[in-house]
Amino acid sequence: MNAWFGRVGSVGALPENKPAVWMMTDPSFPSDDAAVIASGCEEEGVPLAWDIKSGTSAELARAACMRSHLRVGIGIDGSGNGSIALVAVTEAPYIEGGANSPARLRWLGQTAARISKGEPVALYKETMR
Amino acid sequence: MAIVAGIDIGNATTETALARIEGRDVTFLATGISATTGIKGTLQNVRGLRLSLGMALERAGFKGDDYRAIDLIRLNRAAPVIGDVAMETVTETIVTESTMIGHNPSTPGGIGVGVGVTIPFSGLARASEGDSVVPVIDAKHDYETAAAEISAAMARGVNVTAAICQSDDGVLIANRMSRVIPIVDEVSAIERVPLGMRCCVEVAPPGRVISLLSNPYDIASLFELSPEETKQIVPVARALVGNRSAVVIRTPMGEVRERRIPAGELYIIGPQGKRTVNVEDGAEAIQKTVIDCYPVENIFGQPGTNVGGMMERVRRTMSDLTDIPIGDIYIQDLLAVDTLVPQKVVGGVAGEFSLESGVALAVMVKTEELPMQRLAKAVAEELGVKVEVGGIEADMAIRGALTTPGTKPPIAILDLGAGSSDASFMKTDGTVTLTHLAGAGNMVNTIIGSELGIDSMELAEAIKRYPLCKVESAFHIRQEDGTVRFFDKPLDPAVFGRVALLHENDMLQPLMIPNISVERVRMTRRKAKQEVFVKNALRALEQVAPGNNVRLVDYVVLVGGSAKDFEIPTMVTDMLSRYGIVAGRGNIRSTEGPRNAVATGLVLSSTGVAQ
Repeated sequence: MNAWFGRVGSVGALPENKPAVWMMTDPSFPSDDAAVIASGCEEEGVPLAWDIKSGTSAELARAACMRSHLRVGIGIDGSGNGSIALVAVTEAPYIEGGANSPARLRWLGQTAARISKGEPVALYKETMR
Repeated sequence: MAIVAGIDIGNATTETALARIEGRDVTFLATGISATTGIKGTLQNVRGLRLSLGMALERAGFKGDDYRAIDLIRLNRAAPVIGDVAMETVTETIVTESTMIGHNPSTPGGIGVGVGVTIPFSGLARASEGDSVVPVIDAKHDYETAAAEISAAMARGVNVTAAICQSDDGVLIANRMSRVIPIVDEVSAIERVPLGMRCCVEVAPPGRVISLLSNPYDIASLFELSPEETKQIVPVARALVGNRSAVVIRTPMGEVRERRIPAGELYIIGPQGKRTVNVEDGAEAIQKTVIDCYPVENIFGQPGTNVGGMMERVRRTMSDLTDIPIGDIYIQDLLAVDTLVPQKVVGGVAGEFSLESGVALAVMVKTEELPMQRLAKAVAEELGVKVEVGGIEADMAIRGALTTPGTKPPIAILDLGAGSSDASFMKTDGTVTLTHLAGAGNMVNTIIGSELGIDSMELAEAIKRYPLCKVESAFHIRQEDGTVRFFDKPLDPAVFGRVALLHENDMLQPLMIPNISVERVRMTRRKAKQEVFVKNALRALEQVAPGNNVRLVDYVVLVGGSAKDFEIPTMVTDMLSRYGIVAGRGNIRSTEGPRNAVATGLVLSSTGVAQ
C-alpha cells in the first residue's frame, strides 16, 4: 500500500520531497483526528504530511503551506479551529472552519486536497451527514 | 405642444420613449425600461408599464407618477402574442428494464471490471468459497471495516469481484486491499440496489471513460441477453457513455415496465389544406411542412400525445388571459429546433439521466386586436391619460430603426426580441412589408435549460447572456476564449475550480451543475442561438425580401433586446454576409443602441396626430 499520510520524523513518514498537502497542528491535537483529516485527502488521491507546532490556526496553516510542494496547508490550533491556507494568499487563510467533529475533520482534508488539484470545493453544509 | 409616450410592451421588457411634439418637430426627452409583467398583451402588463413610464418621467425631470404631464400614450399593436408557455420540449420517455448506477462519483475506487451477484455487506461472512459476489456497503460500515472484511473474504477463497459503496470511501477501501477491485461509491440510495442479482461494475483508469458498460453488445455478452433484451438495454448503455464508473444490475424481466409516451403528430393547416408531420421526424421535417403550408392558418397537435397537450395548453392559457373563446385562438407560426433532453432513467438508483432526442417548439398565437384595446382602456383608466393603440410592431420598428445614422430605404430591419423575431422591409417609396415569427431569446433559454438539465429560467437566461470562464486558481480565471485574467484579491472559495459566468463588474456566478465543462456549456449556448436566431433571421428575411429573395436585400439593421447580446449580432451578420448583405446593429436616435426602436417609432408615427 502507498504511504498516504505520515507524521514528519515517524516510521513510515512521507518522504520530505513528495508532493503533498501539509498539516501543522497544535501538540494537543489527537493523532486519531489527524488520521480522519488524512482520510479526506486520501480519498481525493492526495497525500498528507503532518507536523506539530504551536500557534493560531492561521499561522499554522501558513507555515504548513510554505512547506508543501502543492502550496496548500492545513492548520489546527489548540481550540479546534481549522484553517486552510494557500501560499499565494498572503493576507488570511483561504478557508476557515471548526475542526470539532469527524465530518468536519474529513471535510477539511478533502477540501485542502481538492484545492491542491484545482477542483471545486463543497460548502460544508453539503457534506454534513 | 404635446408630450407623447410611445410604449412598446415586449415579451421580456416594456420600453418607453417620451417626447415633446410641436407640429412635426419631435424632441425626445427620455427613455424608460422595465421587465414586462405577465404575458404580453394582457392586463397583467399594466404594472410593468407603470414602472417603465415612471422611469422615463423621472429621467425627463417629472415626478415618476406625474402622468398628467403626458398628453397621449401610444401602445404597440402587439397582435401576435407569444409567451414562454408556448415553448416546450417534447420527448419520449423510455423506461428500462435493467437497474443501473451510472453516476460519476468524483473519486471511484480501484480499477477494472467485476461481475458477480450483489449481496449485503453483512452477508459477506456467509459467502462460500468460489462464490463471485459484489458486496453492497451501506454508510454504517467505515472504510477500515469494509476493507478488512473484504480482504478476509478474499483470503477464504470468496471471489469478491467488485463493491458498491454508499459513502465517499471508494479510494480508501481500495487502498487497503491486497487485490485491486473496482469500487463505485457515493451511491446515495443504496437501499434501492437490488440484492441477489447479477451485476457488473466497471471503473476506468483516471482520465479515461468506461468502455464495456457503455456498449450494449458487451452488456448483452455479460448478461447473456437475447436480441430483444439487448434492444431494451440500449438506453442504459447510452446513459453511461462518458462516465468514469458505472454499475449495471440485471433484474428479472417484468420488474420494470416499459412505457412510451408518443411525441405525436402536428397538423398544420394552410391554404392548400391540412398537412401532417410527426414530431419524431425532427425539426427539419417540421419546418419544411410549415414552409409548405405558408401562410399558416392554424396548427393543432394530435390529441392524447405530448404535442397535443402542449398545443391545448397554449390555447387554454391564451383564452384564459384574453377572454377570447378557445376556438378563436389561432397558432400561426411555429419554430422547431432539434435538441437533447436529459430524461430521468426509471430503474436507476442514483438519479441517472439519459440524453434523449427531443424537439423544442415555439409557437406564435395570433389574437384579435380586442385584448390590446382592453389593455389600452385599462391603462387610460388607471393613469387618467388618453391611450391609443398605435401601429403594428414591425412597422414601428422600421420607423424607429431609420433614426440610426447612415440608414435609408430600401432597408430591412430584424427585430430580435425575447418572444418573436420580426422582420420588415421598407422600399424607397416608403411601403413596408413585414412578418412576425415565433422563436427568439426565450426559446434559446428553453433549449439551454433543456440540454443542460436546468429548471431555473433565470439561470438559463444568465447562461445565454454572459460569457463563461473557469476559475483556475484563487487569483485567476481562464475565459472561454482562452485568455487569462488575474484578480488583485483572492476569489471566493465558492467559485474555486468551477465553471462560472462572468457578469458585469467582474462578478462571478458559479454554475452548480455536476461534471459541467466550459466547452459543453459554450457549445450548447452557441448552438441554441444559431438554431433560433440565425435560422429565424433567414426565415424572416425570406418572407419580406422583394420576390422572397434574400439576395435582393442590401442592408439590414438589427434591433431589439437580443441584438444587444454579445454574440448573436455577429452570428447573424456572418450568415447574412454570405448573401452579400451588409448588416449591423442599430443605434436608435444615435443614443439608444439597438433598443427602443418600436417605442421611438410609435412616437414618430404620431406626428401630426398628437395635436
